[in-house]
This record gives sequence, C-alpha cells and structure tokens, in this order.
Amino acid sequence: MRQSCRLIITLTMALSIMLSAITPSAATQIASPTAHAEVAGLVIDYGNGSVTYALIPIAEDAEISGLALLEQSELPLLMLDSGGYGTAICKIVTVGCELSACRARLCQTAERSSPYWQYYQLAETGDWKSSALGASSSRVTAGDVDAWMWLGGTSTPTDPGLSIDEIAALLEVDPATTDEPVVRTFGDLPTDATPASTAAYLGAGAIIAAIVALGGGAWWRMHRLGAR
Amino acid sequence: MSPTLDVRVWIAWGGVLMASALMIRNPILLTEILAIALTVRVVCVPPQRRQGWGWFVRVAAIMAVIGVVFNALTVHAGDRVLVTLPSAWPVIGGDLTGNAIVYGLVSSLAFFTLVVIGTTLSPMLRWTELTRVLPRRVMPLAVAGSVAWAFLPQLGTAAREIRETQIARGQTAHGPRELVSLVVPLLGGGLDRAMTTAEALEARGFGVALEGGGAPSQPWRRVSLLAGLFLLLIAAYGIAVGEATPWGIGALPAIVLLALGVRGGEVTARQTTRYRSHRRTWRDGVVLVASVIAFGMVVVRWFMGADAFRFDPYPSIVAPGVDLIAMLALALTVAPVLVVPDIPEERLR
Repeated sequence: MRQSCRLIITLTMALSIMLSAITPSAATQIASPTAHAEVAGLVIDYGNGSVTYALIPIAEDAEISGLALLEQSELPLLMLDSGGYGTAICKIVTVGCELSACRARLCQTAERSSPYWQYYQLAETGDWKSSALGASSSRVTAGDVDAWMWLGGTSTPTDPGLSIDEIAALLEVDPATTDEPVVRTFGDLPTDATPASTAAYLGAGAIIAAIVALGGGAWWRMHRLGAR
Repeated sequence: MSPTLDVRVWIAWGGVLMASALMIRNPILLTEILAIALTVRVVCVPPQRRQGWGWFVRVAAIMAVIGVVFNALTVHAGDRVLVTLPSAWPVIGGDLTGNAIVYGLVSSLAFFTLVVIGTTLSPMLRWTELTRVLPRRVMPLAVAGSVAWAFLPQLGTAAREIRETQIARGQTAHGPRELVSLVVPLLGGGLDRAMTTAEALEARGFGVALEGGGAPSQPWRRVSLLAGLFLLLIAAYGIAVGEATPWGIGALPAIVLLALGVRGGEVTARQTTRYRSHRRTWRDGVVLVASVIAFGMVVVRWFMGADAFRFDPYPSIVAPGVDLIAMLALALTVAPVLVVPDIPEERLR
C-alpha cells in the first residue's frame, strides 16, 4: 500500500514536470522570445509622432530601476528630485516643461488633459500597463520593456506594446549580441528655441549699446550745460 | 527728474517696463530692459532724489547673488556637471551644474531689473500729485500707499544715521547680537514717524467720511465693482494655476468693470489746490505713446511666438533667441532720456 502510494506520487510529479515542459504558461509565452536577451527595452513616445527606441544591456541577474534604464539611454534629461516621492521626469530631449512648472504640477496645467511624462511597463498581456511604482522605485531586469509617453492625463496609450524582439527588429540589431546601448529616434523632435544668427546677435548688441550710448551722451550733455 | 511729466505717464512707463520684465525670461531682452532702466535712472533722476534708494538696489544685488548660489546648490539638473557633492549630504548633495548657475543668473537678472525699475520710478513720482489725479474712492488707499512707500527711503536714511552715531560713540558691530542696538532705535524711530504722519494726516482732514457717503451711490456702480472684483479673483486664480494667457485676457474686462465702478459718474475733476497746476505737454505725449507702442508690440510678438521671450537652460544650455522687432519696440521706452534733458532748469524745480 505504502509502495503504491509512493509510486502514484512519483508518477504524478513526473507527469506534471513533463507537462510543464511541453505546455508553456502564459507568462513564458510572452517572455519566451526574450529569454535569451540580456537587454531591456525602452520606448519613448514624444506625442508628436516621434518615437525613440532603445535596447540597454543589463547583466542577466541584475536588477535596475526604470530611472537608471532611462539614464543609460544617454538621452538629455531634465529630472527633479522630489525627496521621498522619488524623481520626476520633466523633460526628455526637448519635450517636457521647465523646472518651475515641473516642480509645481509635473508639467501639467490646470487642464486634466494637458500632457506630462507617463511611465508604462510592458505587461504579460503584451499591452502597456501604467507602472504602480515610480521610475525610481520600479525594477527592471533583462527582457523587460519600459515606455515613457508624453500623454494627457485623460489619455491612454493607443499603440500596442512592443517586445524586445520587435524593438530589435526596428533597430536592426540582434539583442543577443548587443553589448552597448542602441538608441534610435524615428521622426523629428520639436526643437528648442532656435539660436539666432550672428547678425541677429550683433543687432541685439548694437541696440543695447545704442541705449547705453544715448544715456551716456544725454548725461554728458546735461553736465556740460550745467543743467543740474 | 521731470516734474513736468505727468505722474500718470511715469506710472505708465514703469508699468510697461515692469510687465515686460515679468513676461520675459530671455537674458538679452532682460539686459536691454535693465539698460533702459539704468539709463533713465542716471539721466532723469537727480542725485539728491536717488538718496535713500541706493541701499534697496544694494540689497537686491546681494539677494541676486544669494539666488544664484541657492539655485546652484539645490537644483541638480542639467548636462554641464561642474562638481559632484556626496549624495549623502542633505539638499545640496548631487551634481552642481552650469545649467543651474545660468538659470539662477537669469532669474536674478529679472529680479534685479524689477528692483531697478521700481527704484527709478519711485523718486520720479510725486505722491501729492498722484493722489490728486486718482478717483476719490481710492484716495485712502493711495494715501496709505504713498505713506508706506515714502517710509522706505526714510528707513534707509535712519539706519545709516544710527550706525554713524554708534560709530562716533565707539560702538562697532561684532555679530548678529549687536544688531539689537540698531534694530531697537530703528523701530522706535519708525513708530515715532508713523505717529507724526498719522497726526499730520488727521489735522488735514484725511479719514473723514466722503461727501455723499462712502459707498457708490448708483446701483450699477455697485454691481460693476462686485463683478469686476469677482472676475479679477477668477483671473488671479487662473494665472496662479498656470493658465496665464486665457485668464490674463479675461482680466481685462474685470479691470474695465472695476474702473467703471470706481470712476464712473465722476464727471468733474476734484481740485484740492489752486496754487499748483499741471499742464500736460508734448513730452507727456511722446513718453506715453512710446510706452504704449512698446508694450503693444511686445504683447503682439509674444502671441506670435513666445520662444524668443523664453530661455530654459535645462537640460542643455542653448543660446537664447533674439527678437529684434521686440527689442526695437522696447527701445522706445528710453524716450524719457530724450525729452527730459531738454527741459530748462527753472522748470525742473
């Protein structure tokens, strides 16, 4: 009796191990294409049709924050340390807001629909899911994909999520052999205020110099005439 | 100084420059406004009238330097990292960046420019003349404001006199605790001046009930006042929460309603003296028209594209834009320099 029980338990365990090897779970289905990758993906949607895709190498067992992942893309960032609340992202490259507006309302105006940088992670279902934790507290491991979207407070991502392999295909690289960050932006980013031409700067200097000269001349004339 | 320029013209000139300095964060445009204010200050304000205001400018300069240092130590953003302080240090730990220093410099420039405009305008204003041209309803407010404003240079002068007296007696300041010996007589002197001024005002009949009662007599004026105040409050809220443009425009009808409520019905100018009269001259017209055109052009250019009016050194420092049309328009506000020195000396008195 005892032996038959042991036999049944052993057979059951062996069967379950075999089944699990043959039928992958839903989570493994999503993760399977990236199981070999030692990179994490990054998608940055600037809200004007421009998107940056990046693959960032991560050691297989390492765990970094979403913020560190973004920083490793080496894109110009404006961040605001909010103490216990973590770090706020005010501007990525040229899209975002000034520090004062970021400090006040994270770039949002009084309108709920006004945009700010929203942080998403790729869910098991293959869709973007708003991260429950801020980027400084979230955990990213090899195979994960993070997204930053310049979206209004009442908007949600319309594009489906992208896996590591899909990002790699867009970047035309092999994730298995990527050992340096690969970053590529598709579309044109809004530019900061365009620096003026040299002639414009000379003109501005001439206007200021003329004002000072006018004042100096008037002061000299008054003193010479003894107006005071 | 040109007493021959109408006090309202000076207020319009100062208001245009102050509003522009508040709207603008471009260091080139701010430098131009500062140059205009300093030029008018040097040429139009007689040295004796500048006395008592110099300390205000000096304090502003010190505050501006403190602002730059504070910004550099507390904002750890930007791509021009100069030094990295240990992150374990509270508040100041992190990267000290050139971006933060540039931002602090631009903010301090704007602050210093506003103070220079204020201290240029103040000596030009004759408060007695101002109270004469204001509507009766705002008379108590104007008197209170003029008294408070006049106390500022007196405070500086009193502080200097007390310090000189203490030095003459052999007292020298050796730390913050010694400030007590300065603050106590300063406070006592201030209260003494306040009492003297209050008695002088009472002796001249200030504070008595206005003829016909204090409240607006016509119901439409009362409604206009209330509506104007209500709209102004909403506009102020909108501006405070960052919706400056639509709410700022919304504030205009509020100001019109308020003006109607305060001024409406006063068909005759109130005359308080027969001995001093002011004639408006072409000089008033030149400065007023130049100020209005300058502000109009700045507002138009701002709506056409505000990029040249902004400057943000985060996350990368990019050279500021240049709007030559706005600069030329602002240059019109140097008009007082052109008209005031031509005023004969006897008219300056």
